[in-house]
Amino acid sequence: MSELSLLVLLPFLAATLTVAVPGRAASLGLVATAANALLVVSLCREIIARGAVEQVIGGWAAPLGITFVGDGLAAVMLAMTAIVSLAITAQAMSTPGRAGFWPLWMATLGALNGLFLSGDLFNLYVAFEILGLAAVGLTALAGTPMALRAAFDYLTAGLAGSLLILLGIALSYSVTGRVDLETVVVLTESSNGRIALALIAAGLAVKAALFPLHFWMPAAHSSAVPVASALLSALVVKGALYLALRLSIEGGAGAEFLRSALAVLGTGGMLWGAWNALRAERLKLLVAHSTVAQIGLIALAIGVAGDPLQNGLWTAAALLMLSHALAKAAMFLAVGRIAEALGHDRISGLNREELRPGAAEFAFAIAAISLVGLPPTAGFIGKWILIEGLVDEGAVHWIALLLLGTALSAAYLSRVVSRCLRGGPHVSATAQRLPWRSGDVAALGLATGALLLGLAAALPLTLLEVPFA
Amino acid sequence: MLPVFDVVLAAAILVSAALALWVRDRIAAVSGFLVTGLLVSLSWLRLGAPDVALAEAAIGAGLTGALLLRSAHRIPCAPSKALPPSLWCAAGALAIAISGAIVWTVTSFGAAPVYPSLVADNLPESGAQNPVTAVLLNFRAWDTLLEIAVLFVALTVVIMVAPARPRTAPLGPLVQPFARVLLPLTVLIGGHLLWQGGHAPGGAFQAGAVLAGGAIALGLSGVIGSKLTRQNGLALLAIAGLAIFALAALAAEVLTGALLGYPAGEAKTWIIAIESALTLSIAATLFLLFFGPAERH
Amino acid sequence: MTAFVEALGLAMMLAGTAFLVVAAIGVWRLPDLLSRLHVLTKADTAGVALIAIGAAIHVQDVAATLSLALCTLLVAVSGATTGHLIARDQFNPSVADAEEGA
Repeated sequence: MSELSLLVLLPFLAATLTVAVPGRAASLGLVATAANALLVVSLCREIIARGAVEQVIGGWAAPLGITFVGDGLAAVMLAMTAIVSLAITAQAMSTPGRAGFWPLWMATLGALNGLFLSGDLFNLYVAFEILGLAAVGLTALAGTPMALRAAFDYLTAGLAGSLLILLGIALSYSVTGRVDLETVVVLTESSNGRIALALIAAGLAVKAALFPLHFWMPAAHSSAVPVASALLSALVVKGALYLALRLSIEGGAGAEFLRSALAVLGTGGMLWGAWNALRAERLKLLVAHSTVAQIGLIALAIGVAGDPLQNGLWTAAALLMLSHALAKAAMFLAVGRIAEALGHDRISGLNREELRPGAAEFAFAIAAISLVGLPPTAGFIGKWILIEGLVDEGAVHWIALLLLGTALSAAYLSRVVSRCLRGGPHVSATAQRLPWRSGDVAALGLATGALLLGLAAALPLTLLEVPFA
Repeated sequence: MLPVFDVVLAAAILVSAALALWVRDRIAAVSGFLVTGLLVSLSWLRLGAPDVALAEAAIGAGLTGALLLRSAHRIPCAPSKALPPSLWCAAGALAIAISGAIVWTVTSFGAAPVYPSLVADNLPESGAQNPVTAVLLNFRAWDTLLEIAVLFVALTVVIMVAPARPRTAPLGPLVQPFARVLLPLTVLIGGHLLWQGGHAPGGAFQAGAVLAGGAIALGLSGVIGSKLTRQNGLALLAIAGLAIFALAALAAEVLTGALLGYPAGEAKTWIIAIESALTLSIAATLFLLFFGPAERH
Repeated sequence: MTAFVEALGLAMMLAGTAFLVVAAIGVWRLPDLLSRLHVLTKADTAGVALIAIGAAIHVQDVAATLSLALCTLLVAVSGATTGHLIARDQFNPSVADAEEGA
């Protein structure tokens, strides 16, 4: 059996098993994520050694059948998912979970793997359906009225996004007569094809929480339980961003109109998210708004990169996605631990005297460094590649905006980091230092991973340089 | 003659949809939705898509309508807030812009679809004479597998967020004989639809929906409600569909080297086996979506 | 002979449609729930049965005729049962406070 088949099917099998044997759900989840990580490693080695791999499902070649395409970009996304999923599984095993977490999480993993490998527009839509529905369930996991409300809004927004995507796919079928990814380049050649692409992109913007369609997201990400927030923020929104990047690659030069829109909306999101993060009073809300800003940054990176078939600037976007996934997952996990220790997550109450900053605060600080993009993190490498390319093109205004976004992210993240280092009388009555748990390992490990990724950036870059299939 | 019928049908769909949207009473709105669903399934028939018509009638109008009715009954009425006019105008403008773009795109020249000829050419090897079944269970079986996963996730979410199930009072002495007549008939019709799917409109989704309808009637009448839904066996049956489909996909790869690539000449057997499992699983899923999860002990 | 049989089938279908139209007018015009139910359940069953017989005469095929008979049976059984349920709800709302789905 090939790695590709197992990558997409093992999580679903694990999901059904976790329902059938709820008592063993956590260990089943661990086995599944570990196996998933091993499969990804083996796939990456194969891709580096022999180039992009393809697998024709059922022996029916596209466009009749569906083809899995495992190229460098897909491999980097799979690896990102595998790393984050290990940490999330470790964290979830150490916290008493609610029934329903494991099947939903495994289904999310399977949907993400299927999404990154799929070479067919309609199949991508179905994968998005699983992803969106599972994400709604994960948001509702907390069970509080606020979480249920946020989950319902998420469901509505997600359905609107799905309908737009489906409409776009139906239109592209009427324009080109086929629904595999090869159709994208044909779509860019006619104006009604571009309308179809624009509808798909609008749906993706809802799902990725791209400004100004991000309205559902801060509430959903901040009212979920910490593992679910980490998962939603680090991985689920990446599905839509990945597809935007894929459309930009498949469309080539003709997709420039999409890239311009992404650049403009991305800038808006970067600034608006940062502004809201600066004003947020709760820690989880700050992190959620920072996700809006970082998604804006990634969209901006996809948008200004130009034709991916001509130059390699788009790798910056992929690197930024990777580093954001690791850092943001670490940050949400750390925030969960901080809130648990203090009994609240008000930013004004973060300073304390008796409780010295612990592992969670440390993990938050490292993750913040990576999100801001200080060397030697992967975030730095991504921004470096981008700015270097923009300098060559003389696009000074984009560089200025990028630097402004970076400065703003440093500003809002330092609100938290500086408070944690400051003493003060605001220790709440219930505050207590939590015993060392595997949850700290997860957050710290991810944050360290984000840091080290900058030093080992050669690995993802080698993968990304593998020519497309 | 025929265009007149189609025009009346299209107008009726619009009117009933508008009724469902604007009527104030909830039950009336759901009734409007039901009527819209039935008319839409008629329009699928007119468009030459009997498979879609069947699915729309059974799932879109029938089971969704039943679910909505139940929810309309259970959820307390929220005070209706009037939308500000600016929002109305913005929503209207957006809807008109999107519809305009769609109309323009659809009416302007497009390429001929590549699928009909491809499907027709490969139909003999697919193990099914009905092109829709060939696409769903062979050419693009991967899509179908993911759709079964969607059902699985939906059921998981419902089980997770559903409140404790309120006790359903049995619907009275006349309903039990009704359900007893109905259930064998639904088994018959479901089996027929499943078998017929190989060469004519039908298949696992339609058959599963019909079965679920019969089971729901039986559940509402109070015959099986307390006995069957309290056990986890039904939930296991519901999730078995995804597991069996996934295992079959991997087994096919072991045998032929292609994921979901059925061994030559045996495609029909594989398709019928997978579809039979899916029918039972879909029926159990829909039943549980309606009645909620088994009670926890 | 064939022409006569076809005319007979057509007449049956027309009569069935007329039944349904009358029922629709009745539901619209009659003053209270019970009389509406009365007209609905009877005319519904009779109308569908007549249309089915007419169609069966036209297709002259055993399998199709059996399907039509099944349709008629289902409409008759479900019409009678739902009519009963709605009427009971009118007289005794507390019993039917359970969920409706039929």
